[in-house]
Amino acid sequence: MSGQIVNQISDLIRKGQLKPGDRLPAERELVTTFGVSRVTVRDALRVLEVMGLVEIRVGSAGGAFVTTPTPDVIGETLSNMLVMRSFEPEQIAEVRLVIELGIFALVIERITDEDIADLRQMCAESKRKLSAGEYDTKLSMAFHGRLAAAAHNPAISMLSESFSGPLAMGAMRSKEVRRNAHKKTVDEHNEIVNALAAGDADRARATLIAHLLRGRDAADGTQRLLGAGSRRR
Amino acid sequence: MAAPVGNELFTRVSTARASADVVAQIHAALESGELGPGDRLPPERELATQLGVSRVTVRDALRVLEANGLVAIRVGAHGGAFVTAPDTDHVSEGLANLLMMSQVSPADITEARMVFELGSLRLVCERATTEDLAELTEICDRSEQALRQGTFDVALSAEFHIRLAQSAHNVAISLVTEAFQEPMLRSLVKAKAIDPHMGDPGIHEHRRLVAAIAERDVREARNVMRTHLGRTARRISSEKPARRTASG
Repeated sequence: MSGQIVNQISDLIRKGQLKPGDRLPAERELVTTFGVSRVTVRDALRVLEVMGLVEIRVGSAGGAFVTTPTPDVIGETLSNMLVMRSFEPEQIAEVRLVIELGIFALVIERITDEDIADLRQMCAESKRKLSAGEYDTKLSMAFHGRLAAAAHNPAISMLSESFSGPLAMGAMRSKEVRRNAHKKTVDEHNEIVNALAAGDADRARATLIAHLLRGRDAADGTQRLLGAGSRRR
Repeated sequence: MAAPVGNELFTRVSTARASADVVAQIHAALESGELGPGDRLPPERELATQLGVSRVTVRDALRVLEANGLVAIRVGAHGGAFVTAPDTDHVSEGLANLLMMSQVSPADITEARMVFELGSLRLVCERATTEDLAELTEICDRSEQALRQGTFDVALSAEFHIRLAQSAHNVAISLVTEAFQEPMLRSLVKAKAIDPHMGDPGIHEHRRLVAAIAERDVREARNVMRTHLGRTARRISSEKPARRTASG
């Protein structure tokens, strides 16, 4: 029952008839419109909230408001799927490889001084954290996210962000998270940025490929993914 | 626990917080493998007693898990809350929502799709089976027939691209490809870019793609795909009105 309400409302949102910021009719009204109980309406709103389509605010100016979903919601579902073994970490890693290698030509073409400055700063912070023994895989994810943002395409950023959380989880599972591995990660990030700053596309790309492959050799087929034609864009 | 707001002495007790706690406990059981797909959760009443929370809270937690695709509620004599693995539609729908609602321009979506489909082609060329190739050819046949009869629909093109992605034999790749279809179609409609003749070169290119994949010729496959998707990209980006933000 609540499923039908969810479908109707999410359809209106997708078609743009309801836009982010819009307030849904009051619960009471929804009860009358849909001809269902208040509990059912509440259930439906809760589901929409979890889907990231609606935000419930309490208080006098409260109500259910349409919001823009974030990549976190997708990342969470993907993580759940990993937990439930709907697919393996290697498959997520493969998607990331497709995305990161695919967008690199765009990154090289569009990267700005500001992008480079941000990436540099992230590398410096990673180094600090590393020597303090506080390095976290999240820092690496953030670096890759920022690198993807240098493609200057929001659709690509969203895709990349959606897949970064679950990968961190896969990495944790494959126990790749050792101190030496971290050091290598940070060094390679640094080298990628230096190559990009120097406008050396070939070196940047070669380093990225080596970086992405390292520690993921367990991923079947990954090596071959980078076979013959990869130099052609 | 929370500080009083305004001139009210008490703040609302949040069911959401208690239910998030319940969700977290069930999550932990899933992660440790104590609970797995097909398992049935204890009845609401029992869960409420065990966890020391109200039934309303349990209900709310179950809704959240249901919305996450982790639990399916079945009614009837053998009903209850059953653990399930989220299906891939769940993610592709979510991604499609994300792309459509975030004011991303159609040109950006096309570009992202191009990057992704071109990138996955290498895997397709490597892993496509005889069965995959036969089914792709079958879609081409159907499309041609539809074109001759004047019943061609872009849904057929979407079907081809989704089936192609499935030939990479990675569920995660299929679901991303699927996620791009709906926003794509929508922007094509917006740009009024669908004309009755658009299917013709498209189908021809689909056939050439299948041939290249059968030959495991990654380079050729990528060249064909680039031309193929490039035409769509140009159609979309040449339509200025499509750049307008959500015109409803």
